[in-house]
Amino acid sequence: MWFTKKNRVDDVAKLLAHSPDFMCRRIRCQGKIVNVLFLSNLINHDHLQQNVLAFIHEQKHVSIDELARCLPIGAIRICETEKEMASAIRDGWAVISIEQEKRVLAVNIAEKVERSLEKAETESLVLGPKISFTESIDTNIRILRQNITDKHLVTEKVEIGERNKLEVRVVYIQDIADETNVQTVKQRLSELRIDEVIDSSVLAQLLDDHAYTIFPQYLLTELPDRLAYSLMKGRIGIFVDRSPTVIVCPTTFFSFFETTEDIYLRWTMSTILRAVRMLGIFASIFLSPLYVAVITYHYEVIPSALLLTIGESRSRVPFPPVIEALFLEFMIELLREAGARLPTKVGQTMGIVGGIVLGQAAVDAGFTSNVLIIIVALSALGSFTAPSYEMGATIRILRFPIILLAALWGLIGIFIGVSLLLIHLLKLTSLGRPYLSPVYPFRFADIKYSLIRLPIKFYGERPKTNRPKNSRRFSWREAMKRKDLDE
Amino acid sequence: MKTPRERLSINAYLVFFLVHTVQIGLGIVGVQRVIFVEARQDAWIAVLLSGLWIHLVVFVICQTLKQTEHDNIFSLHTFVYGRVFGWMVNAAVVVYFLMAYTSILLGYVEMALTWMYPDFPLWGGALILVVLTVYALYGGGFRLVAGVSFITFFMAIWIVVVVFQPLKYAEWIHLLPIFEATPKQMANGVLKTAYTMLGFEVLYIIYPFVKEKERAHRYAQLGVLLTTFLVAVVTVIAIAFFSPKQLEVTIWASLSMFTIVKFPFIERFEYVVIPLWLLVILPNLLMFMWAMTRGGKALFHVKQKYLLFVFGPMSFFVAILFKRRATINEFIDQVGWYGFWLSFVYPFILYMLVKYKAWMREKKQ
Repeated sequence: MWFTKKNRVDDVAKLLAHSPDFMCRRIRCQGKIVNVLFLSNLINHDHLQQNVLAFIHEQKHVSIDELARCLPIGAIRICETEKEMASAIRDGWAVISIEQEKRVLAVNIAEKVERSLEKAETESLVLGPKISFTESIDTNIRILRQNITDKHLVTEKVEIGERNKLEVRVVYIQDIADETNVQTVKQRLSELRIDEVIDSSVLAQLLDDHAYTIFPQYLLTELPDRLAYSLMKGRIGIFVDRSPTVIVCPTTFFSFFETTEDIYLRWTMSTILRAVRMLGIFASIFLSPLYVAVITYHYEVIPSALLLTIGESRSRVPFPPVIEALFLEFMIELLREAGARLPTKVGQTMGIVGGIVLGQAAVDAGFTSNVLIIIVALSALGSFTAPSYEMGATIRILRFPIILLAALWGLIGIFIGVSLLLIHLLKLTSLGRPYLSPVYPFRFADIKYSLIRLPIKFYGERPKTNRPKNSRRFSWREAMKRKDLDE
Repeated sequence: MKTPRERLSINAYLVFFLVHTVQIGLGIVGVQRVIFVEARQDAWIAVLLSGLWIHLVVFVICQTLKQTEHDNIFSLHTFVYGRVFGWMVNAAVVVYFLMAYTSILLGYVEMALTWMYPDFPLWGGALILVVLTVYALYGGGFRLVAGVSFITFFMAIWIVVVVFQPLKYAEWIHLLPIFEATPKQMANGVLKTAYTMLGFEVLYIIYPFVKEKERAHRYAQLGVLLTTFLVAVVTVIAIAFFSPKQLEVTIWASLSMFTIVKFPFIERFEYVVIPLWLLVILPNLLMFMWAMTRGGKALFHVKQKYLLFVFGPMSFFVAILFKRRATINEFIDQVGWYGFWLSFVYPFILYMLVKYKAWMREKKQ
């Protein structure tokens, strides 16, 4: 490594904080001195040797223009200032400068570290494509482009983060996505003044309409097919570099309970599965509060035969129902959290220890009743049916205030909770669009997209909730045409 | 008053839900006894008559509002009576809404306490409902009111199916003889139905918010039709279900009928209905509170969201003045009386005044 005295190379080195892996390869060629600057940890060395160094060496006539014309490398750029050079080098580019020439040439020979494509884990599917996004935005965009070949696909680049620059891509189908939505996203992104953004989930929080709600306002997905589906229905995706999840917006409350599997399965099946899921979520929020309310205040509601069973199982329990319920709910939350933090293999054993041993022992010791164990286990199961991890977590937390309301005022307390929840959901918006759509504002045609499924031939129009510019998918008139018996 | 912006306006079909849910409230739970005392077994005819009358009133209200399309009752009053007198009439309307709000609040709390929580203080229940209303409307606005009435309608309408279960024990002979009531009895019956059927007068205020104004009238009529139908049905069933003597002393006849409804997993169904009724009165509370603040805005030129913190506590303090069932009942009767004059009679007068004023102005020009 040679450093020339007091020249640009020194200045660049200073801008790079005298990084020890900063290198300057100096070549004497045709009487000219050529410097090649790079950070050795970031580049592909084979690439450097074969396509840059060897190539320059073989040149008859060396000048920046000539090199820019002939170098066998795809991405090149002409820089002038030291700052530009330093930032290019930081991105893993090599900078070629020739003494006595002001302009320099930056060439991309970066080698990025990334893991290979894997199966989706947080949103696992039984049917359908299994591939999931990775941490590299280039790979993710490549996957998306393979999924959508529509010529109207736009992938707009935005840079955010004042210190730690981050590449963000806003993707949408130009002649489907609503113009206002796209503008809102772009405006919110450009108005961000923040030093750095770690992950797409953080960006989603930064783009929120309402900061104080517990409901997630943007869907995060790691499934390319889900993103492609959403884009084709008029939504907008936001890719964030170094993050394997993509933000989908605007999102409605019900889209957190949809999976792409609903589309892959036959409509009868997926309608039933959606109903099961909705029931599960409902039970997950209200079962234990109902238990608390009914046992504390209105045991008259329970038919006598059932009351006997419950009374028997509760006979040894010394606590009021609310303590009992909170204790068990806390235990389940503990199990789940511990399971999430532990390595997979240990996690399984812990599930067994926690679920079976603790539960059985708690009943035997007279801490809780059998009935409550069933209820709490059911509501935990119900919360896991939410296809979105965020929504599942929200639902688990939602249960606690309602248990407290039930303990305070019984069934009326629960309905106060329901009213509050309803009012809160009605107030929420995602990207300025109503959160509870298509239930309110009521859009009959969109019910088939969110709550139930119908045979494919009914899906001739894109959901109105997303306000697509062009809502026609195919002519459903033609699809619905009935043929005569023997035609 | 200016036309509300496009973003704040609602589709016409929501008028159906708004009018219907604001009409159905506490009245339907106990209306049977009140009419039965007046019109005996012809009580259901009184309900139908009052329903017919309301259809006419709604027609007149819509005709009045059609004159300008963007006026609500407050700006119409200023137009008709001038600024000073109009202000006073508007204040009277706001007071009526305050009373209606408080009566619903009190009625529900009283019912819940009597049936389910004898030890709970009345002020506690009132406070919870006031806080709920203020929370909802603070940052919510009219679209939220419409949303709540739309969704709660579907959350509660299924109870209608259950109402038919007591029919097993119905004695249809109780309905006979028909048309026995004298005109005076019938008129009294109609008058007593008023409180149950009140609420459609909010049409005066929501009308400017409707996008397709020409269809608002149709949906308002449909809403009234459903209300009349439901009230008539519960009245007929109650008359058939209870013996006359029994019905005279049954305050919450609909709830008492529910006591015999049984499901495999629910023994006392009325214990489910009373909490669920919170969802039925929620649109009423929100609607009246919203109407109040809307009127307050016209009166004092203060933002609606600040007025919530004036009218909310005000109705709370009015509510806790009442201690006993008897006084609450008197209060509700009073509200029904004022409501009758304001909503059943006054629209005709207002219509003529507006017509006259408009005609005068045209003549001047």
